[in-house]
Amino acid sequence: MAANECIPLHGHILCLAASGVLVRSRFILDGDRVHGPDSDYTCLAITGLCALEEECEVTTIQCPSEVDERVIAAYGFNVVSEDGEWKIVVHKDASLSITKDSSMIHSTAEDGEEMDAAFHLEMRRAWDEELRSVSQGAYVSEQQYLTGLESRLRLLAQKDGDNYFWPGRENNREMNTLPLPRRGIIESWTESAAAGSPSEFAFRSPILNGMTTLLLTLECGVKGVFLLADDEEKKPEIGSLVELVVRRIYAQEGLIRYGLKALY
Amino acid sequence: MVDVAIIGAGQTPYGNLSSTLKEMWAEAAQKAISSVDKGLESSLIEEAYIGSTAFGGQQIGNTAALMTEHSGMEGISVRRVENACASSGFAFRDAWMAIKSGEADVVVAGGIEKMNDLTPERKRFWLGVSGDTEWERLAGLTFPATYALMARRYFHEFDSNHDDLVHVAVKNHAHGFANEVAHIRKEVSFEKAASGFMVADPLTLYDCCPTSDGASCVILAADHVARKLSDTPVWVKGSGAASDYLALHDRESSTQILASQRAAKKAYSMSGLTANDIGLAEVHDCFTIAEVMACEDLGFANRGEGGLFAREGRGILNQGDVTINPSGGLKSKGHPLGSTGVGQIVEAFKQLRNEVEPSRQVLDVEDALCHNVGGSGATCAVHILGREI
Repeated sequence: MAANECIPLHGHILCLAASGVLVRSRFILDGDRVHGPDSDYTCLAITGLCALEEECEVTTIQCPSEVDERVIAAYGFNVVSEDGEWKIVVHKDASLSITKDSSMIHSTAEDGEEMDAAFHLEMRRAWDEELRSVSQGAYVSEQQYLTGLESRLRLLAQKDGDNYFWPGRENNREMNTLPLPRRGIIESWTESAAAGSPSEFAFRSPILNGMTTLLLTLECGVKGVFLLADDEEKKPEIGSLVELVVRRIYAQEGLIRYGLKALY
Repeated sequence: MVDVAIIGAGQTPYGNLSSTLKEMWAEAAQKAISSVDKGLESSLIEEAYIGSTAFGGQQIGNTAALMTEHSGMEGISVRRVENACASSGFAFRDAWMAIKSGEADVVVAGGIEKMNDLTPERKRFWLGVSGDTEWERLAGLTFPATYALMARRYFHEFDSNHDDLVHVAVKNHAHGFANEVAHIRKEVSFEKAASGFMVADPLTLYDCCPTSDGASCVILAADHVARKLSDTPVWVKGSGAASDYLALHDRESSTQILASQRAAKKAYSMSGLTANDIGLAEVHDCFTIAEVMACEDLGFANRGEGGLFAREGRGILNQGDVTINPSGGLKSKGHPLGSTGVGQIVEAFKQLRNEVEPSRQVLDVEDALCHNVGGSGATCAVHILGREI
């Protein structure tokens, strides 16, 4: 099935079709679509599901092995192992379809940005190395990561009158929680030197020539710090509005950890 | 209630040292004990509080027991105190409280860190363990990066720019140049300090303190013991400590350290002094922006005028309102994390007894303040010391 129109969404390209959505990486290498520096099928799937949710009710979703269903569930979607209403089907290139009948949606649009071949290769190797890396001691365990994933991806804040707490405090567990909009205003930012990032990022930081972190004011006065998505080279500006999208944060001990990054 | 004095103080030089943890502690303790005017039998020491982050992991557990057995204090009650870079500021406060409580008469407070015997990878890992691991570190933040966020916001909110930070670096290197125990004894020009390579934009190399090896030790005593053992005790006139949210983004402001303000308020109140009474202050300048904010948080400059304070040279040795970091501060003297707080106390002790190198002696100083911050401001200990109680 062919897609109708294609639009940018979450730093990816979203194509709408009668039967569902097609989500494609915006990066192209030698004519093929390739994943962005911190993106993969899981990130594309979140974008597609968010778009689908705008159009219709998304009841249940079935994920292929290439998509981390724990991330999809933590974002707020209902993941099932069989007989899901919507099926995510990954394509050979960096794109995927979400349809009810497992069909693939295609687009002939050539839109995208050319990615440097050496950069792409180095980043893929770095992710592979990072995935095999072992923490040297104090670190975020898989259990801790998974426990905090819903709060991390949905920005679930605790509300007490006019006061909001994000991430939540253990002693506030009785408070109501509500998800904050995934956008914020830049309060400050910094770019660490290539050799100056935390050790979890040691393989990729030199390739990216450093990493940029933003201090954001979210709605309700809540603040947070977030990495910049997609190796964006444009210098951030205090006061600018940014959108928060799902991307890979880092990998360790065989587990890719996801979170929100700022799209500027 | 009993008054508490410091009767002895010593430290190793700070730097990239060849000595081991045990050697460094033994040296600092021996210097402290031997500096007691009328001598001190180590058998009089009842408790030891030793600050350390156990950097590198060589001796994370029972650090204090290992240190004291190499300094003739075996058998006494000991413990390691950990509050990141404020570890020994809090160790000092705990030692002071032990005497104030009446439980002990002679207590050791110290700090130690060995940072330069690690591989670069391991050092980088350990440098980042005192922030909020889950929410800051995994957003790419190191301590330089966290302070860089503060600096950029500070420049945005107030009439200040990076040149103000350069003034801090130039001053502290000038002060540290004459300090025989300083890690980096090198004066730098404004032009040189303004052109360092970027570490975390907008902070450059000259905005960052070095990672140092070193140990420090002081002997505290109850007044009735202090007067017997010392002709020139230095009195602890005020002690304040406080905390704030660990992560910068959880705090009310990113351009001030509320833990510093709270701790200073308590210390000033206890001492009956104000910022105007302080002749010298050893402040926690792990990054130059930290000194700018500290000058405001401690009351030496008005809110938003810390940059102006630096620009006008109001913290320069014997020239301004108050001498800020006559030791060279963390920037030049160095920053062996766990040792830094008590290292500041050692400096103030010697300054108040006119025992530092003459060229960097603060003149006519009666009262000194030491300000020790943990991490990016989660913890802070402030102490006010004086010649007279």
